[in-house]
Amino acid sequence: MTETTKQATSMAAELLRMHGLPADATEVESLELNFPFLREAIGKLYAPEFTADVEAEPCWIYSPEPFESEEGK
Amino acid sequence: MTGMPQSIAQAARQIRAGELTSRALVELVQGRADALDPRLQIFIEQYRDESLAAADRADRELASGIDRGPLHGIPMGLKDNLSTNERNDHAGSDAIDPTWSRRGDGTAVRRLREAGAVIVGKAATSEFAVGLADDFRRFPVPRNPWDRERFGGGSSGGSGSGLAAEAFLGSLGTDTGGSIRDPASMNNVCSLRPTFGVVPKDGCYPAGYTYDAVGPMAKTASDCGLILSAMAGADPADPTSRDYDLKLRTDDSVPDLRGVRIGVARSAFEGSALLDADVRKGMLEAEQVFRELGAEIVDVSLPHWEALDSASINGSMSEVFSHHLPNLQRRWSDYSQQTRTVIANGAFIAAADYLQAQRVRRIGLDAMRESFRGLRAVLMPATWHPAPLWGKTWQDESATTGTGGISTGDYASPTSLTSPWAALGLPVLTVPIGFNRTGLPFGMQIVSGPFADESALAVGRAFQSVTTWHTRRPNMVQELEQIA
Repeated sequence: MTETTKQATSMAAELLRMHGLPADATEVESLELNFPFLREAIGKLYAPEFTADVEAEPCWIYSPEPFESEEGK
Repeated sequence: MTGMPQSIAQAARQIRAGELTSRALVELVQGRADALDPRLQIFIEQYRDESLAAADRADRELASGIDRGPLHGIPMGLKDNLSTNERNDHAGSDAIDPTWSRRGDGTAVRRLREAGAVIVGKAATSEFAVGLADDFRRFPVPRNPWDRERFGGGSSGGSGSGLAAEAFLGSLGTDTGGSIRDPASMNNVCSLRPTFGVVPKDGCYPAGYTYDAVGPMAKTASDCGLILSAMAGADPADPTSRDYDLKLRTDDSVPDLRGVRIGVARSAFEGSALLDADVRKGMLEAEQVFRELGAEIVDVSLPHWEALDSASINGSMSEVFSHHLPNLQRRWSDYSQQTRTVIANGAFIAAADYLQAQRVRRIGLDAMRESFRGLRAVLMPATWHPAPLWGKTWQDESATTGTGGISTGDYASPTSLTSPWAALGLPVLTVPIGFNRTGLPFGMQIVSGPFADESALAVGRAFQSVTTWHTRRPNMVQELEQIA
């Protein structure tokens, strides 16, 4: 476990509280233990081959459609 | 007395030949359910009277010359996360919003009924289709008909074990990261995770909005094609659904595989400590079957496989968390502890991570296009091993190690054979390919390119034309036939 993920583990309980989730101590502990593994898996999403072309890529998430009532105007 | 037809296609032929009526068929499967459901916990609820009435209508229609096609009069089961006009939908949870079950038939279910299918009941699922072996809720949790001491697979476990038990001839399951393929493999039946968007998700309780697929389960690849052909096509109720000419074959035609190239994604499973030796042997034997059919087997690498596994798990986790968050805040204690703990992992995934997962999916699909070039399909195991014993599932093991029931972060995570394909939205057929030394079945995934669902089905039909794994039945089912 890296130092970063060790520090991140301590954030787990705070994130649960921030989201208003009433997890009990056992549940918080279980989630805290999982937290670094989760973050390590997420780290695989940021390998160089997935970040190299971000600057060049087009906007690809949101694309509006005309309102039905506006069609033909 | 007529024996149980071993496929939808066979039942359809018998009905049209006057050898069988829909009512007689529904009574046959109800007899199976009466005998086996108490031991296997397949159903949330059976629609006994409603299905007999529907069968009588189907028989009257056929007698009057109205033939709705191959599903006409065929008994089918539905996973409990699909809404129905019967309105007893729970998605396996006490925490479900009661208004959800008042939606009525979702699009896929409505299309099945329009095709003449007789819905015989709702099959058990793990809570909110999260996929856990959660044997502690008030809802039934399916046992495996090949060994009742083992998991029936998840989350479409009731749809899988009910098929193996012959409590229906076809069923619907859903798949977010492997939930239709895992129970197919463990129950010795087939399933098809269609290309994302081919089957509208209206009426399917969401697990991952951009990962969920509603798909058919049946004893043969051919039957999966029949069911898919009744459900496919865009619907305004699901903006992600697509119209695409899938060119589905609705007969038993077997394609000529001579000269066809089929890939084996060996690098994704060979060498993993999770891979069961019998499953490995079964894969090698399956490859040989295709060689004998004239196909050329080539090794294929799967680019970005680990990242796609992460994109699938963490992307779908974000989506399921987003969907459940308001309900979790209000009704935390109505969820099972295991389910709410798994879903709560979504609190740790940042918005930037979620968007990065979508970026990885797009880059991964572009790269995979090159890997699939010139190939009819790609093969790999559906599960690392046959059905585990209760208390020995990966969720149990991860719970004891405090990993909250999700990925341990290892490359060979329990869902890593299936979840990357869900991230890509590709069609995946699962077919039985063998049994281990203790008589437990396991299956193989046959994956094709986007909207090439028919390619996967055709390769499956070819395989099943020369193998008999899919014709094997659990002892408890054979014993019933002998008694009858």
